[in-house]
Amino acid sequence: MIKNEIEFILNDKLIQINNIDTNVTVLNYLRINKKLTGTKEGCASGDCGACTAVIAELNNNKLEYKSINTCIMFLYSMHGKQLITVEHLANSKLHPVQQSMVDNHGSQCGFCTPGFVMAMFAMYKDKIKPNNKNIDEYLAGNLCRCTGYNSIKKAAKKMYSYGKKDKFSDDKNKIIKLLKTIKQNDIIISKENNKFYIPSNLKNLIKYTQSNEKYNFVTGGTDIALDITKKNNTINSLIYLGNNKDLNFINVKANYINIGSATPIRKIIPILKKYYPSFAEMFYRYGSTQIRNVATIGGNLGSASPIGDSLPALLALNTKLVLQSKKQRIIDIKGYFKSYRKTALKKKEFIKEIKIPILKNHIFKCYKISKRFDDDISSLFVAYLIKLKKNIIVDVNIAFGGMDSIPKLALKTQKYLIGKELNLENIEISKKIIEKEFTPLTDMRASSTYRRLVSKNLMERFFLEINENTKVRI
Amino acid sequence: MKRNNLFSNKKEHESAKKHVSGSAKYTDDILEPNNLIHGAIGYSTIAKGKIKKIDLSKVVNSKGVIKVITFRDIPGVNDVGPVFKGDPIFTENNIEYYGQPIFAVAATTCELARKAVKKAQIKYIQKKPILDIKEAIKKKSFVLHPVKISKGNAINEIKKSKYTLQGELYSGGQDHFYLEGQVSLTIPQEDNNFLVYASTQHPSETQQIIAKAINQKFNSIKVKVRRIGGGFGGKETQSFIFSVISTLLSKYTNKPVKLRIDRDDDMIITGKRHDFYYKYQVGFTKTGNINGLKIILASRCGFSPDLSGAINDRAIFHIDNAYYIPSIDLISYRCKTNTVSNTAFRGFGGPQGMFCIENILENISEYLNIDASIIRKNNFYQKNKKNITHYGMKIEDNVIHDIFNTLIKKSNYQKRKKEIFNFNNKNKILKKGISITPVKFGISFTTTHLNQGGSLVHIYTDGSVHLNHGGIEMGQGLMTKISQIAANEFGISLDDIKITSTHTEKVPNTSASAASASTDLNGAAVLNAIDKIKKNLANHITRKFKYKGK
Repeated sequence: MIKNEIEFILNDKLIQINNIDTNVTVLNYLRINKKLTGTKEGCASGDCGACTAVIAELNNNKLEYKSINTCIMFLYSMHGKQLITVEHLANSKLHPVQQSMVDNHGSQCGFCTPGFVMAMFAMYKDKIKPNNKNIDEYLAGNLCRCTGYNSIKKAAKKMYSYGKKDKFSDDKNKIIKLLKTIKQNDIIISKENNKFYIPSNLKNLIKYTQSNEKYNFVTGGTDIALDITKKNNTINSLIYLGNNKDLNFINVKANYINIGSATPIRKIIPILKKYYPSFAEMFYRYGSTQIRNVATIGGNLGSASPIGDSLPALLALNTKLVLQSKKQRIIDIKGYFKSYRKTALKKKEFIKEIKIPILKNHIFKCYKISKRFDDDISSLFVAYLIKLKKNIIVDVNIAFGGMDSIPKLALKTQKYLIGKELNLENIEISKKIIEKEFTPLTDMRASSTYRRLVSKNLMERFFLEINENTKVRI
Repeated sequence: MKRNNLFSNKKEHESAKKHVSGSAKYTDDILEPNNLIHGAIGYSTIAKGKIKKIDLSKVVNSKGVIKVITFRDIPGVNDVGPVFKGDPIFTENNIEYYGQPIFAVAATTCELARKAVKKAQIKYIQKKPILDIKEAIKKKSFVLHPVKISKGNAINEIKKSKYTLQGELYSGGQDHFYLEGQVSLTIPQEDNNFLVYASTQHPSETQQIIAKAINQKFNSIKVKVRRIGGGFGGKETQSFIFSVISTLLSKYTNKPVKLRIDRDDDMIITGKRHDFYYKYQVGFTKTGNINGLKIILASRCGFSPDLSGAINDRAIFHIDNAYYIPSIDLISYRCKTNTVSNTAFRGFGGPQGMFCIENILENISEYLNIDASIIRKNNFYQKNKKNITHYGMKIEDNVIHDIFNTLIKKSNYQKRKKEIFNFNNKNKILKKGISITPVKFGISFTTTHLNQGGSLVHIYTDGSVHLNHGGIEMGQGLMTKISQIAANEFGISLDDIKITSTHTEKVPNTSASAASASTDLNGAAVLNAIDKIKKNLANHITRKFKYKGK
């Protein structure tokens, strides 16, 4: 049965919605429709975290809390979730994270504060140990311009001293019960000329994609929402994949890591850590916790940006892509990127699954260069995959992002390196080849000269890291 | 009377509980009047040139649009320039930077207003813009006349010096990125009066500029600010244009208008920190003591003067930082470029001046191979001699020697320096560094008449106190500090004191909240007021109860 409204819990009330425009973001819904103005707009592009709220989802009968950037989330993607805003944290008393922020002077102008409180609240609910590393990880998506980070960190460190149980622990069963009443049916919202589809399984997704309607897919929305918030465009038809159970999985089978295209990064990091730690590590710089909680590598592949960080990594790893329309086909990622944001995807076809081979005898490393350490678009990105036999290079992939109009392999450099001994001399020669192999652009992120220089130097960095016992990281 | 000594008490921010629970209201959070409409600004998409043809018919006919205004709809002064003119609200024809406002729209929703703006059809005659400092100097493109300062014969002193160095350097620009973007809400009142809620560091000048633009008396405009979500100088003058436009739209529609600027547009339209170019020649002794300095300081002011005069002056006043420079030959260029008009920003030119001299000292240190901390120390202002700055001011209460020596000891500077030296020798790639730098910074406005505060203090018959003053709460805790001052002076509890907002109706003709002086100025004004109240109370009590004691 197809329903024509979404259902979610706003703080503690179950609500149904179908009369709001399909392009409306969670933030604008909260601020404009519900007058819940505690959640702030700082940038409307998922960069500053002022709009952070928390969603709770049911996972194996447990509530999973995730911080999100409400400024770039579509309201209708809230279906089946609990949305918690800053106004709801306190009862007669402030919530432990709030009290800790007050006592440790964590607010100055106060505008970023609700966002920090919510990011910290998600951390609190995840029972994360508040050491420096974890605080950096959980709060990197929130900016404070009054430079109050020290006090904010202190507040995070002391939040558990105000009690490890909160009102959400008390209300847990009530919320679980309420969430269970929401049926995971297919939903189609129609509002004036705009539509929002929520197919609950693969079969129905295929059905919707076979029509002649022009549509866009959305899961995390961390890229496509900017079309609305920044370009002021209207997207007529959106197909939301976040609730599609057949696209949300990760498993390891037959020497492949298989990832459903709508699986959030958050869920794939633990598995990647096991096989490709450098890849997993990269994700902490690819986007903030808020972004990783909802963004997907399926989305990266779909938008096919030349600087989407996971793409060069997938390219270097000889990934295979399962493309789906009425029929299914599997292609090698090498043939996927055609030209600037153009891919091998045919009309009515979508990415169903990403298959990353497990190459136990290879070394994999990737490096991201960006202006802001976390949560920034790369100036350039490189991924190396190499296999050595007695220090002779027998297999090598070097994949760049930000050096061309598509994520691209350095084929000439690879060709030179094959059969060569891995030593500084050969690396120096490879640097000269790399320099000539690409003609990168000059744009606001980096100049062409800078990109060339760094692409060379990273070659050396890679060598030093895998070959010599040279410390290159702090 | 009992005093609380509240100054020394640690106190949470007066709004801390509201901050953390989302109930602290910023301009965009104020409960909206139900017939509220929304504004958006259309701006130029070239950096320099003229408008050849402008067709706004598609904007006018766009869904939800109620009113479109251009420079023709400004009854009064088409300028928001605070000290100097040159910042048009809407350009008449000349385009001076990419992002220069040309027209504005009022529509039923924010989304529709922003969508409408995109539909403007504007054709330009493009000219070659001047974008960087060196080009501007070459073309003698300045927003204000160059300023020269000289003391002694620097050229001669440099010539006579045993050692000389010369060089060029740059310091970059920076966006304020106040977390709360520019926003203004105008509500029409009776008699064509307007109430404006603005996110600004300067409500009085907002009031004055709006009044001039709509050709009304100052007393017909009220500007109210409870708190702002960060300013950092970016809302000292750059907020004016938004309040003027929301008021113009309100005037023509007779409706409340909110103008909230998208972050990208905010960055495109408003000014930032001045980037600087420096060229110097320095002569010094074998101990690194400066004999003479010849220096060019040039900054990118953007298309208009705005506050660039005072900012560049401050850079000049901080080029010495904490060091005695016996002779100097300085020229400061205030370059006009076809970019946003750069403006106040944390330090207001001070950091740019200090950055330059610190760099020069580092270079001397490297050249002589003497630790930079020693070079710095050798050049410090002295207590009884070598204590007159290059602009003729005597340095009094000089504590830099004590601070510096204490810090060198406390930080284990020497030991750490050795450790770092060893680390760097052992590590091929990773390198560490250590540095210690002093700061001398001038508090208060260089335009001295702006150094004034104001306050209005009420005591109600239940003993509770209500007060207003001229400063803006923007995260520096001003309201908390002033409450502490008032409670302390009255000898009452902080809970009995309420500061509501900064309001031109309560305290008129204020200075901007800037120059690191808002607490000192307005706090003193509050003390002044309380003093008078207390005297009145004392007089009354003495008379009424024939009290003769002390």
